[in-house]
Amino acid sequence: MEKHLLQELAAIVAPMPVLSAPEEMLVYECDGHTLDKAPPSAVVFPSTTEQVVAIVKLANKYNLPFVARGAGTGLSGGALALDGGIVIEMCRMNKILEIDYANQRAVVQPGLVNLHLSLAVADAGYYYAPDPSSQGSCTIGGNVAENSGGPHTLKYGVTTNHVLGLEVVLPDGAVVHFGGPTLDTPGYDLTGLFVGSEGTFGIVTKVTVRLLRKPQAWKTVLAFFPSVEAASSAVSGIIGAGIIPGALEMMDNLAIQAVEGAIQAGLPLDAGALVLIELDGIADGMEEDAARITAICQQHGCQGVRVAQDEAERALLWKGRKEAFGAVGRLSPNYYTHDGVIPRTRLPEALHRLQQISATYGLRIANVFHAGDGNLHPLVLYDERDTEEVKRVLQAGEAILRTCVDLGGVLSGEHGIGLEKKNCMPWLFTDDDLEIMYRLRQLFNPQQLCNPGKIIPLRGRCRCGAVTAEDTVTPAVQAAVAAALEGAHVHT
Amino acid sequence: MSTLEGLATALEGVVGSAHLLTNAAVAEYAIDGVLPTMVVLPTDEGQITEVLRLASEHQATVFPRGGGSHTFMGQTPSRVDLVLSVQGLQRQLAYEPADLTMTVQAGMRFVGLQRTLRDSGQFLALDPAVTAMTTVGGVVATNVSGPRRLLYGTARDVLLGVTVMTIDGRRTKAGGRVVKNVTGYDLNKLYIGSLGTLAIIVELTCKLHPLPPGELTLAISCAGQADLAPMLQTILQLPLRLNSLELLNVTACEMLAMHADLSPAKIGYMLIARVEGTPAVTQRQSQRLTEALRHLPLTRAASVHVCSAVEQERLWSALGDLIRGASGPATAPDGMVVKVSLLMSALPAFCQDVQETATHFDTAWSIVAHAGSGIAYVCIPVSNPEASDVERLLAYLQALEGCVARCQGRRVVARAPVAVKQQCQVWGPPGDDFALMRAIKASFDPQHRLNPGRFLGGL
Repeated sequence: MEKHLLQELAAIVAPMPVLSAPEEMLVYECDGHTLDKAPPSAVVFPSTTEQVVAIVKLANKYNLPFVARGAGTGLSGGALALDGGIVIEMCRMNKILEIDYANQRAVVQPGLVNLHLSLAVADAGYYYAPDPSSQGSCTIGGNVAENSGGPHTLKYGVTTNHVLGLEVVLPDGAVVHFGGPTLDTPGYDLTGLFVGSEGTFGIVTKVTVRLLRKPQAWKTVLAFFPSVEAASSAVSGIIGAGIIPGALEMMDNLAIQAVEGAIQAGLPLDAGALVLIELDGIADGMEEDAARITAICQQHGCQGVRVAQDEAERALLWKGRKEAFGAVGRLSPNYYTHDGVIPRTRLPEALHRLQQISATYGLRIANVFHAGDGNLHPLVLYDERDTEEVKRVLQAGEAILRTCVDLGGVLSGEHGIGLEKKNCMPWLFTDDDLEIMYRLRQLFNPQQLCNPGKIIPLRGRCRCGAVTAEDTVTPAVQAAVAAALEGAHVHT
Repeated sequence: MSTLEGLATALEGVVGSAHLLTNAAVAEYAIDGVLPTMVVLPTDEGQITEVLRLASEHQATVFPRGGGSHTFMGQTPSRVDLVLSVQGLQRQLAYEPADLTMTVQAGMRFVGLQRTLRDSGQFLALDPAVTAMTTVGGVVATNVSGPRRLLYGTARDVLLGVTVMTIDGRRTKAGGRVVKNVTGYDLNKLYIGSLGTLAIIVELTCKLHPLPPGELTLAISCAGQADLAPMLQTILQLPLRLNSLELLNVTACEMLAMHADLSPAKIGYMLIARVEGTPAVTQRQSQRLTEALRHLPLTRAASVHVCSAVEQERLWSALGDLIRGASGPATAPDGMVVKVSLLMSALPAFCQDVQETATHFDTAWSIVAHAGSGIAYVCIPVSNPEASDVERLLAYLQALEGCVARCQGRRVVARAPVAVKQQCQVWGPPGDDFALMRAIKASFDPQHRLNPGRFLGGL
């Protein structure tokens, strides 16, 4: 990056430094999706909304792409700065601005670590419900960008169900407010549209979230099954019986081996699958529900059940689940995490087809996933030094996603599309569907400087069929949008 | 409208004469008294595409319509060329109970859908006050909600996927048929509550919930404003499976008593709480709640009445009617209903302020609030909707806006006589995100022909 530009950036964020030496920026070449890498031209650490505005305006002035980044735990390449852009690292903006227990909400800065919010309100009996497995490091701002989920979303919903309002710096530097502290704000639900826009609609600088009362009681049950098929039918049986547990997670044998090797939780190494079921809510009636769940598991060939006897055992069982991805890392040098979703009732078929894919491509696949939601996380094991194997990993990944789409599902349940899966979008969406998405991005982000090259495949970059979104925005639409935007952002 | 010449003939060619109204029959489809030039009732998506294409050729304004039960919402239109009803699209497209998802066409009747689901022990967890005509598409397009939103949320929490027809007749979809999905932008949120100003919803996939094994309703008296806050906070913090918590002022209690066999609170307020679970579990919750209230230091002890099954049913249905302001026919509402969004903690002060304001005008306004969500419906009676009354209603509205402002809330005129709506901003003033909303509207509907002028700021 040119020296005068660096100086201007440094002046904005002083006394915080601006990183620009390649060796300082290695960690910013990719996020949790490590197959694609792109070096940024600079990394800058704003501390206030005003600084974010100044950085964005500077980027506009010099026509530089930019991308906001939280903890870099994203799994679809959403935080990569393509075309030598600036990384705007939000971790300095990590304060809790307001906690309002009477109204069950908090206002936080985007760099706040997800878990830190729950910890801050725990003593008062509250928590923040969305709990991605990376919640110890991922940020609320990143969660907003990706509409992150987690194990407990089966009952409580994902990020979008818990965000009430946003302060956003638009890609031209204007500051706007979506939603608010109160519900049902009149007009289009721009909060809902913004959440999950993967950093392509602007940079969030303030988030109003809902806090929930901690459940009065939990009951955590592990059930072991001879096969993933048996476990899957038990999952369908539980939901079919009208019980919605707080979480309903599954691991296959390979994942069990990895987890047991890592944390010695006493899991049976010969089980074909285990299902982690957590009931939460009021204590009344919980024993009855737990008994019904146990009976359903037994009807589906369950080999054994383990009920957490105390908080320590519950924590241990969850540790196995939350750290399962890391544990799988013990089995091979690298693994590729997928995130397809299928209708819950298609689980047995999906898992069977995953086994076939594993055999076809000669790759081991471990499964650790949100069974209750039908949200699969096949972890494909490989060694990145073996370039031939990397090719097969990508082919297997494509086959996995094709399977999800074939079974009536979608490409991503919680990790996002980002760079990783944008070329698969035409499998699910028509040109017309994508054109509307493109049009919306164009309207928020007309210069395409804010996190370019993500989500929607464009002509020339597309591997899986040509979408010509640029051409389908008619002059009439462009003119109407320009007229509507004229005089906009008067509130900056 | 000379440009409309020939449109009727062309439309008839698409849908057949039985599905096109151009004569006196259009009166039934009037929007705030404005008669449409014609009404078209297509029976499939292909016909909608053709209808929209023809409407485009003739530069006709298009007003999407479900069952017509909520057409009173929004600003009064200046001219209605074509009402496009989707009530002919009634098919259930997919229902897999074990997946807890369902895909239906937008014209499916809301009540009928719930009946189908009930047979499988499930329900769509939205409970707005509806009529037999209300459609699922209409519920989503208007984003109406009810007391159960406390536990289950609103349309944005249950809509998984949507297919729409854009004004140029293109069929596009967003979301999917699975319960968790971040594949592409979340356009579901954009269409929810957009009042048909962006596109016409033709198909919806919703997340379902199992029916609770049972419910129990408690009517709790509250002596006065000072006791409201501690009582509300206590109830909301207790470990209960509470799906509704409604707050009624005296006037609302009196109106309710006319419809439900409930002895109204003579003073103060009434809280209506509804808990879920098996009979044994709801009984224990009821005891816990009663016990907790007994230990509160209140100005006067709260009395708790446990409703019978019959009382419970009547009460919730009467409450719904009260919120809709629907004791009269939709075309001539006999009340003005203002929906107010507040912080929950501001509710007691707001109620007091409204009470005093109404008293100042020597009248009585009822308040029904979803207390756990901070949504209050203020219902102002209209004796005779004549010009003199309009002046009075506008003065009332202005005074009520003062109460809303003092409590830092926002208000929407949910329902009012047309003459009142013509002289006020139904949706209130837009915020600093309005330029974006205008741009979105312009990109979907560049010629401003889709339900024009009816939504926030003329969107």
